[in-house]
Amino acid sequence: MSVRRAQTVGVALAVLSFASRAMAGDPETPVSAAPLAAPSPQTGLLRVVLGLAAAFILAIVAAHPLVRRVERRLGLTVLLSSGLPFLAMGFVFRLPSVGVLTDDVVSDLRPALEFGLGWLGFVVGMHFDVRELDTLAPKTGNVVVAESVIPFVAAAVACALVLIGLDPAWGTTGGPSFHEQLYLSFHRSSLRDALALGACAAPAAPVAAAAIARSSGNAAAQLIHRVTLLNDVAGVVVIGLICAYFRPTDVLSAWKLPHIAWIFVTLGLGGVLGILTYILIRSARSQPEEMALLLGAIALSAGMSGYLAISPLVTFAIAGALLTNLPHKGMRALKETIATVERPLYLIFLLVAGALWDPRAWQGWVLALVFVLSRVGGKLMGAHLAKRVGPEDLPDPDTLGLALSAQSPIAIATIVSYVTIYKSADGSSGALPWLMTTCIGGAVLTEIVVQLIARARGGLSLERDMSRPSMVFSAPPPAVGIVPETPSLPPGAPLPRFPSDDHS
Amino acid sequence: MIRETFLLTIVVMLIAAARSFLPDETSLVGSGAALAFGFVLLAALQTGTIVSTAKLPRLTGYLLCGFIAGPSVLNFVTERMVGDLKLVNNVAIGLIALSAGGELNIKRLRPRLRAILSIGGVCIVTALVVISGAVFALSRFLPFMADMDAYHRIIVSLTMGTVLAALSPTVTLALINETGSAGPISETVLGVVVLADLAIIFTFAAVNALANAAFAAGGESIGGVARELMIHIFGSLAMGAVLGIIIALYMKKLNARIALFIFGICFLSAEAGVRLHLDPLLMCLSAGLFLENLTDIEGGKLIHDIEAASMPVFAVFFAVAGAGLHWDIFRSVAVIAIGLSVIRAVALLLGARFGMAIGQVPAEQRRTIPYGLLSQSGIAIGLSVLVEKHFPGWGKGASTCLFGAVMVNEMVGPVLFRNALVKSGEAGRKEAVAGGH
Repeated sequence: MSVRRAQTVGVALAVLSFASRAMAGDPETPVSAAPLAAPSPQTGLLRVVLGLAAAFILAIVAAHPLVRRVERRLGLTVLLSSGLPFLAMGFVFRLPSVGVLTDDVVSDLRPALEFGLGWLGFVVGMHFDVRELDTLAPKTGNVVVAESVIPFVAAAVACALVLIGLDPAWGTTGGPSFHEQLYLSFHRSSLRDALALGACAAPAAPVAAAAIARSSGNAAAQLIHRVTLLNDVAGVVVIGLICAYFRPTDVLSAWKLPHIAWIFVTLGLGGVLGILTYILIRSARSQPEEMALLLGAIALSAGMSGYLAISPLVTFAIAGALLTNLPHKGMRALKETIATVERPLYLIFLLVAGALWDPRAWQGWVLALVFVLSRVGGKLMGAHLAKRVGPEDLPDPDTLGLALSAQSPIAIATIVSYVTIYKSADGSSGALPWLMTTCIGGAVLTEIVVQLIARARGGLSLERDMSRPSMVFSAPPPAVGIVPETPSLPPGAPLPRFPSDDHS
Repeated sequence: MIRETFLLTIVVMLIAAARSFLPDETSLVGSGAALAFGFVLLAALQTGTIVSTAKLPRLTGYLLCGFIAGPSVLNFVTERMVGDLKLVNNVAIGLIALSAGGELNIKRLRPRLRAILSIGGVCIVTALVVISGAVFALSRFLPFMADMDAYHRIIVSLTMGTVLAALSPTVTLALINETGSAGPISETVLGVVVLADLAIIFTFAAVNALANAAFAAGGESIGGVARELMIHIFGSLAMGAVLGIIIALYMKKLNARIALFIFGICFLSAEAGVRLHLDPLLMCLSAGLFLENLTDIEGGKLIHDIEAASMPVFAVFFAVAGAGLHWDIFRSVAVIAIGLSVIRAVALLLGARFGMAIGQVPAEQRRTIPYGLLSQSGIAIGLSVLVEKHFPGWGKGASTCLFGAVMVNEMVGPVLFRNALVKSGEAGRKEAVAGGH
């Protein structure tokens, strides 16, 4: 228990360190003109300190097991159950009249954001334990591909059309011809933004999926739960490709590489960091030392990814996948550690996401509507295809489509990663602020609609076995953060073994 | 050793690669801080292990690592990154102070209270008198004091003497943790350095007020300074007690994610305390003392939670301190700095000998305790910065000498204390006690 606490402390150290950095502001940033009725620097700083401290304490409270139990009972994702207050708080703190999360503070909190993204990436990567993948039912891969690619394509195409239509350059007079304008708009940023939204469309929320699919039996629930875990990677792959092909820092950078080389840099960086983390934790003499080394490895990797303008989500997913497949007797404890701290980190991450979010632009809500419709449509189409090409245990296409419709929290991490990478490259222009609304608004809308439909169909299983111990990263998964929730096992059924424990 | 060297090489190569991505003076906002934090933590831990094979304290390795990777030598961690990471120290200091307070059980220390008070009191007075006298004697040779009259030279000497008389609770606690020491020597030394720390804060404020008056630095009157001092010290202690109550309530009522909560408290006291003109170190020390001595919550339980995470805290804390050491400054005042350090060491050793005689410390402890008083770090550096800031005329020169001397004490002190602890037989006793349970 004390080790768990130490681990929590370690992560808190990193996050708070970065947060405390934000308190100091940037010494090299010129001081902007003081706004009217500006608070004194001391009052302002104190407000920032107290605001962030309040958020921090709230994150601890929201990570309480009671909140998680409520989530499981209702089949809600962390976003709807406890994430929304953090998003709202981030948005309110960002308002000039409140002035807690100012431009400088948000910009200085970026390391904490990268750290959080890295942590989530680790979780995604660690789902790829080949020993566990070997136990998947035949043709499960087909379901994963169908439920990733079709929603991705559907959302990307629909959103690209809307983004081109919403491009402010259309209104300018004396501009280029329609075809040239279309071409310019597409190549300026609409293609990139649409691909990013497509990346957010693929992942599905395991907690809702398990609850809905439970009506079709345990086997179906287990299968769908595993599909949702693997679905997350689609978004991560796309965001990795975007970062390789649309370089945001080419002007500043001393490295002049072709786009394809950036894919290798990303893969190489993830691989090196995975191996480094592995050697580091293998060399640890005690669990506190292991935690210290893990913390250092994640911070170093997050910093390197940020420095090279690569999404930490991607490098960490690669590192996590590598790490989980290497033999280490403490792997299970390590996975538990990562899962334990995930939830408070995710909530603090949502706070910063809320600060980056401006829901006031109507364009974002139009996009959100299109995104939800195209995504859910894509999921349903994918479900019909999956039923044909997938394993027999799958439920009927409507139930499958509905189960995979609720949006994964990884989607929000993906869009936040995207926006932070390209914000400095794009400046204040473009559709970046809308994308946050699209993804966050879309996630909330989808979940509400899916919950309502599922309950109306009577297909949402709210009966849970709360007494059963959780198993991190294996099926069934733990009750932590965005790590998926567990479909119930029949009474007396043996718990699944954790495969990597056999290879220590 | 080979594994650690290999890992250190990989980490160095990684940061060198990352730093080559952008031109030298360009740094992406935010990413630099994360990169520096990760690098400093990993490299310091490896260096600490490498250094420990030569029977040197790990924290000397942390300091060396920070110094070599810092702006003075390799510049992997730039001046700006050091600035970003210095804020880590505020949280770390709070955590260390809370641990130190939680270690000090008055009831358990009562038999040693006389020794602690006598050693602390005599050491501080001796160090203050001897160092100030030495600085005064050398004042003709110090360029920033050469043109002053005797009165002003006395004031400057007193100021420098006060800063150099400061001890280091952080180094002491870090070494006790690192060596797993437990016993009367560790407890006495910790008690002395905490007490001396309080005394130095009082003394510096008084001397600062004198200097303000003498140099007409635009400071407040002595009465005003005294009032501010009272608010600063007693306000910090009172706020610490409030924090102690909050922690106790949290532990009793919620008792979940305690360590995370403690971190939040340290963060809050570090950041808000400074804005409210309160001392985060005193606040957390007072909170730890309150919990250990005035509540039924075991300070030991709290410390146990925090202790497990002390490794990254100490590694980053001391590596950042190492990165803050400026070789060019040290080179310019090396002779004076080494001279002042030697004089300080002699004064403290003499003071400790008298103090131990008055306090009737058992003979077997007398060989070890004085070495626990030689280290310097955060407080002395903080006071040196204040000297530079408050007195633009001579402050720069004085603080340069002070930084140089602190650098020597920071490097040499821990080595001597670690060896003394090992020789005394207290090292490793904490694990033995824990194992026995």
